[in-house]
Amino acid sequence: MKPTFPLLILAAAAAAVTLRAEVAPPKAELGKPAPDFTLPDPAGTNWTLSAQKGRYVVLEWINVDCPFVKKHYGSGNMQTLQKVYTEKGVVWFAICSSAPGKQGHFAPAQWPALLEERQAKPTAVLLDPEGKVGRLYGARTTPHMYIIDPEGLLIYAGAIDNQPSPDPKTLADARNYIREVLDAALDGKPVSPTSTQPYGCSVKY
Amino acid sequence: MIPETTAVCPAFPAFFAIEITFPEGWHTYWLNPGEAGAPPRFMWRIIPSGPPPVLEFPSPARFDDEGIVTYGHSSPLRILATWIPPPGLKPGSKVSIDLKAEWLICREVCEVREGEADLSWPVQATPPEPVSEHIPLFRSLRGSLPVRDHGWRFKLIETDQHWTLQTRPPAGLSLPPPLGILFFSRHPGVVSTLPPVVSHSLAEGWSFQMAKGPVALPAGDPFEGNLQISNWATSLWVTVRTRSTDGAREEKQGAEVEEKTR
Repeated sequence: MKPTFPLLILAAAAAAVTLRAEVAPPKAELGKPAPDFTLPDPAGTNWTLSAQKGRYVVLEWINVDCPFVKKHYGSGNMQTLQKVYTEKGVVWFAICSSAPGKQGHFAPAQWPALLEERQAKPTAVLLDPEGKVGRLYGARTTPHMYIIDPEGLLIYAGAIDNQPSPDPKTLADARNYIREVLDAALDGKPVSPTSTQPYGCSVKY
Repeated sequence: MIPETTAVCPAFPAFFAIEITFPEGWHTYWLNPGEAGAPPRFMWRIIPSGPPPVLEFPSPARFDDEGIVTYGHSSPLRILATWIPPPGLKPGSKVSIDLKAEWLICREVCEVREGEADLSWPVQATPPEPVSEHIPLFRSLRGSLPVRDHGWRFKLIETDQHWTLQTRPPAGLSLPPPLGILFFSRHPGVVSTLPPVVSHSLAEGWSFQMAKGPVALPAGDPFEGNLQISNWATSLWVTVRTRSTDGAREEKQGAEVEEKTR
C-alpha cells in the first residue's frame, strides 16, 4: 500500500491554491501605476482615469446613507475638501460601488438631487454598481480614499482622517490625511502617510 | 454597568461589566474592527476623581461581508472594566462613574447607537464583598476574555511581507496539530485578515505566518493580539515588544524581534 502522505501534501497545496485564488489581492498597489478604469457619471458621461494624467486625482468611495459618510457630508468636511482641492486643479471622483438593492445604491436620475442637497463638489460622481472598480482598488469602507499623482502612481490609500467615529464632534481633533497628503504633494514635498487603515461602513458590494 | 462588588476600597482594583445589547443578526466591533466598521467609543466622568477604567473585550469573532472581513461581537457584548480607586478616597464617601458610549452595529446596513449608564459605589476601608447575584455573570465574563497569564512563550519574526509568530506551550502541555487558527491584531491594518499559515519544526515549535497589512506597527508599540485555535480550545492574548534591529541585512533575512512570556 502506498503511503498517503504525498496525497495529504497535494490536498494541502490544493487548498492553499484555492484559498489564494479566492482572496486575490486588489490590483491597486502603493507606488505603482493606479489601475485604469472608465465609469459613467449619473448623466451617462464616461470618465477615464488615464485621461486625467498630469493632474492629481482623489478617489472617494461614497455611500450617502452610511453614518460615517454622513459625518463628513453633514458637517461639510468632505465638501470643503472637494472645493478646496478641485479649485487647485485636483480631479475628485466620488465612486459609488453599492450594488442594486443595497444601502447607498441610487438610480442615476436620483444623484443630482443627492449632490445638490449636500452641496457636494466632486469633479464627478461615478457609478460602479457591479463593484468592479471598487474591487480593483480593494475599496472596503465608505469613505475609503485614494490619491493618484500626475504620473498616474498611487501615492495614498486609506482613511480620510484619524478619527474612526461617526460623531462629527471628532472632526475638531482630526488629523486629516487627505489634506496633509495633497498639501505636501502639491508643494512638491514627500508625502506622509502613504497608507492608513480606512474606517467606515463596509462597501455594499 | 454591572458592579462586581458592593463597594470599593481605595487602591484596590474594582471591577464592573459594561453590557451592550442590540438585535439578533447584527454585530458590533472589537478594538480593531478589521477591514471596516469602527470600535466602540467610551467617554467617562468620574466623581470625585480617578483614572478611566481599563477595558478588556471578550475574544472577538470574525465576520465576512462580501469578502470584507471584520472583527466583532454578537449581542450581548459584555466588557470587563477594571478601575483603580484613588488611594485618597475617604471611607464613608461615594464614587460615581458616568459613561457615555457610542457603538456601531451592522448587518446589511450600519447604524450608530448611543447609550449612557452610571454606577455609584460606597467607599469602605476594607476589601468589599462581591454582589452575590452577579457572581455567575463575572465568572462567565472572565471566561470569555482572551487568557493573559497563560505561560506560553512567543517569538516574533518580521520580514518585509510577513509576521511569523513562533509559539511554545507551557512545559508538559502536548497538543495536536492546530486547526481553526485565527489571529486578531490589536492594531488595525498591521496584520492582514487572511488566516495564518501554520508550520511546525522541532526547533521552533508551531509557527503562524501572517501576511502584513497595509499599516506599519507604530514605533514603540508592542505587537499584540488575540490568537485563537479552535481544536486547542485556546484563546490567548499575545504581547511581543518589538526590538530595534541591527542592520538592513539582518532585517531582510528575518529579524528576530523579541521573545516574551506572559
